[in-house]
Amino acid sequence: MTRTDERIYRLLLRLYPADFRRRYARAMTDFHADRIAMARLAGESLPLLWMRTVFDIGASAAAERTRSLLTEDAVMQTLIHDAGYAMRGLLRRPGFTAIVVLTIALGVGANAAIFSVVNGILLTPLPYPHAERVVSFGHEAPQWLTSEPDFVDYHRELKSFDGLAAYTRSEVTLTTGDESERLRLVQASDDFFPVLGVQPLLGRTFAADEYVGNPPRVVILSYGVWQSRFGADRAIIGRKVSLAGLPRMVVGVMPAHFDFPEARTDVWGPLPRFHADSLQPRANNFLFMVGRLKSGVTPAMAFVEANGLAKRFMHDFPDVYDPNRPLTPVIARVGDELVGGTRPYLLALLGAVGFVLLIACANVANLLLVRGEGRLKEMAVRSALGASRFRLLSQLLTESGLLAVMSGVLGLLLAWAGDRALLALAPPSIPRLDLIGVDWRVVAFTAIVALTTGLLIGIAPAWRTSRNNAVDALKDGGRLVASHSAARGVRRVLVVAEVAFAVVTLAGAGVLLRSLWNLQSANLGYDPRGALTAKVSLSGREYDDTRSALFYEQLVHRLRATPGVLAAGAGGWLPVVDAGGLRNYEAEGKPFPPGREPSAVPQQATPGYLAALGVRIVAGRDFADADRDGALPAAIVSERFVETTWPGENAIGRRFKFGGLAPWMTVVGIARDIQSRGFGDAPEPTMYFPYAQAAKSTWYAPRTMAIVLRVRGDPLTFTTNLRAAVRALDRTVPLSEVRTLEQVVGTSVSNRRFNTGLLAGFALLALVLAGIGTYGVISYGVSQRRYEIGVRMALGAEDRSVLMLVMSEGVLLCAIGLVVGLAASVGIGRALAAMLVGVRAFDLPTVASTSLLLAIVAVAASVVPARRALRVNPIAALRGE
Amino acid sequence: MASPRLRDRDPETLLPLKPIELLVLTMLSAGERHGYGLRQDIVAHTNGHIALEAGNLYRHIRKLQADALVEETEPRLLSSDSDERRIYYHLLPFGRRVLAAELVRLRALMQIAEANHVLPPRRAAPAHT
Repeated sequence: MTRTDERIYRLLLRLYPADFRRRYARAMTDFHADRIAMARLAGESLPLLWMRTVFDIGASAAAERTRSLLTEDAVMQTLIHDAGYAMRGLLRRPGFTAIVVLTIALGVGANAAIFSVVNGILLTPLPYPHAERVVSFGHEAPQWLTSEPDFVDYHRELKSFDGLAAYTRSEVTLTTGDESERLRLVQASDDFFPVLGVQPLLGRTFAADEYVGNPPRVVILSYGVWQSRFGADRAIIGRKVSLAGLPRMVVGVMPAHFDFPEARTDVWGPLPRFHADSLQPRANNFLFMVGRLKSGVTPAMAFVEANGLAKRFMHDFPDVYDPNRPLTPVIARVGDELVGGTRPYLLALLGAVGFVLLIACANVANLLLVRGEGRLKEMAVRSALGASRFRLLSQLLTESGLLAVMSGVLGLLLAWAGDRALLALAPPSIPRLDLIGVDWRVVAFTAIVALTTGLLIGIAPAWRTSRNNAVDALKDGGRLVASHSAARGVRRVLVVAEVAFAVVTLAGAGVLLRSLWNLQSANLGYDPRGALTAKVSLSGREYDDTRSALFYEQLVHRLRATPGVLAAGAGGWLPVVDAGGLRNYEAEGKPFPPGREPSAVPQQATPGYLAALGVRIVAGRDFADADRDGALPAAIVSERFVETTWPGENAIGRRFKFGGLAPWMTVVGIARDIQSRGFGDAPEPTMYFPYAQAAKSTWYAPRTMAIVLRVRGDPLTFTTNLRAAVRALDRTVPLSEVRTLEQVVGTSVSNRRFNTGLLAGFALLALVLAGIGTYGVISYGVSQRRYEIGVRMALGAEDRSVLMLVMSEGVLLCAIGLVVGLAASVGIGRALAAMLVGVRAFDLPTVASTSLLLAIVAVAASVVPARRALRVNPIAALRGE
Repeated sequence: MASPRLRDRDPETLLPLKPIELLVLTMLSAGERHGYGLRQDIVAHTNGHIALEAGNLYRHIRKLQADALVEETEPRLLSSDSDERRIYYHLLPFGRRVLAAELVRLRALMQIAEANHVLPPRRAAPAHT
């Protein structure tokens, strides 16, 4: 062996633990020298020999180091010993251990479950490459969307974007065999798929020449439709399917995770390329936009550039844009837009479960404190035998750490089960539900929470127990009377803290409940109860204006004749789910400058629609079958419409129209305002037209109509009647989205209802835990004061004064906790401000009811121990057991 | 290293031995060996299938020393005509008992295997041995 060989070998030996090296370095070096000498003689490959040597030393050194860590390292030894000791101790008290582990596991599990929701919804990136650069691009009200010429200009001039795509959202009927189904169709311009950067699962996206020509001849299916309608047939590519009665070739299937722009997009089609000479007017805003920002460009920077361009449009086209209603771009990351509304709720929930865990910790710390007092003698003996304080402290902390680890494992299981339950209960309107689950981040979070919990529950009891004076404790003979006022102080502080946390959680849940209540009790202008809704879609190729008017008239007549149906009608859109956009009109004798005409939401409706929806007609009449094509064009307008158009005048008999050659329409009735976008929405001026006249008077009679039935009894039982009535008229007409009006309206508050319900649940849990904690402390106090109570009773104290003595402690602790909690809840209320509706952060009724609830809990928690105090037998107590 | 009490230990507590421990003890039963010598013996016995490297071998020697089966010597001359010194290892009496106990265990296994016709029965040993 050369000197270099030896040096390298000695270096390698450094990998071993020192004691191993001391003993065997010499022998191993000799071994290696012999090995090299023999290899030289035998003509073996030396590099190969070295490789084997390095590998061998690496593996055996790792094994030796692990072994010496486990068996010889002092800290590790202590830890293993303490863990074993603690484990035996815990197993000796299975009841105590089970209560502690369950309490913490509940807290940790709730945290892990909510964190897994936060993780799935807020923290997991969208499935697009560089998703942070993908932004949606729209405008503020009243434009919301973008017109064709504006899009063309944005697309050509904006430098902030790598790509900018326009798309529209609509529905089409898919016909397979004699079955028809409504699908959600997104038609998108050629930048759409490159902007999102997602490749199809099968086939391809659209080719350049497929964006030319209208109607398009190709389609891409969503994973869901491919699965449910085509049995996941891989040979679907190249086949023709019938969309809106026209054959379209399937060129691709998107992967399951791709759902842009909304969770239920069924099919994507090409948006025919715009031609500069045949663009829609600038005032016609119907395009959504999505873009990919250039690397390094923020949405704010893109906004500045886009806003400059929008200002130029306004300047160049003063007849289109009203300076009072400027065109203002809104650019937001699609991720933020998707989950933005859910974020504050999730953070509030995370805060609530955090409080629940803190309360659980306080309870367990109390239990450990009490138990610690029972172990003072044990500790004193160990300390007298020479155990250092640090040693005792670390041993007690090991015990609480062990409890935390057990709770963490159980908590993770609870979180997994909790996730399942949440997913089953959650309304589908919560975004990205499918991403919720237990992954490594949830496990890491749970581990951190559990270990922190272990430290939190352990630190106070361990400190208290380990610092006790050994001599006193031994002299005391293990019977503890008055010397532990300090421990009692700690326990009381813990009770005050947990009551305060419970109050904060309750107050937060309270103001959110009140907000929900305020929203739901707001007058919608229509009556969601007792009504059934559904969508009926006629094929535009088979039904012209006359035929479809006849179809809906017959359908409404049939439905109205059904026993139990109080009113029936059809309208172009339903409130909440698909409220339409505004449309300009001219009012007779009220000249407005061009481009400044008032606007209102149009609604094409059959007779009976308003009655079925429950909208009251405050003046004039409802539509009748006589309001048909050829008769005098009629209209019903909302109260707000009257206020903006003919303020303070009688509107019945006045006329308005949609500009140019359109006929004048005479107002025959005035209807109540409705909140057409659901709870919390300001009513918009609305105008209703008889469906049979709409094709002429409003240039538009929709083929897809929402049917509304007002019925006696459970609305859903009328589904078969509705289906039968449609089938009797035309078997091929699809009926979809059969829901009660309450379900429809509920979608506008379903997220809020779900989140608030969860929060209220956690608040109740917090309250119960705080109650249990108070009970524990008071009850333990009574058992400690048996002697004192016995003396008092022997001296003639009345029941009432003993009762007061015990109760006052619990009530006082809760009162302090209440005050602290209420003070803190002002801050919490501010944090919740964005979610509050009609409630101030410091809401008196909430405060009052929280206080009342807490008073009940305080009394309930103290009354049981107090009654036990009454049963103290003075003689037994004074004799000392 | 070997305290008197260790002699009282039951060899059975250390069974079964790991294959390499068994090989090392068996080779040492022939007399003392230095590390590389052990390697060569084992290579020869296993037809080269087991060629121990230093780290692996000395890990096992460490274990055998800790259990007081094997003892090391002061470094001494490799041979009379060489000035190189080596550390030698030899079997302690307790190590010999453990080895014997392991071999008895293996013999019992052999007998079962023979009874079950996994192995043909061994012919009786010649009378003169």
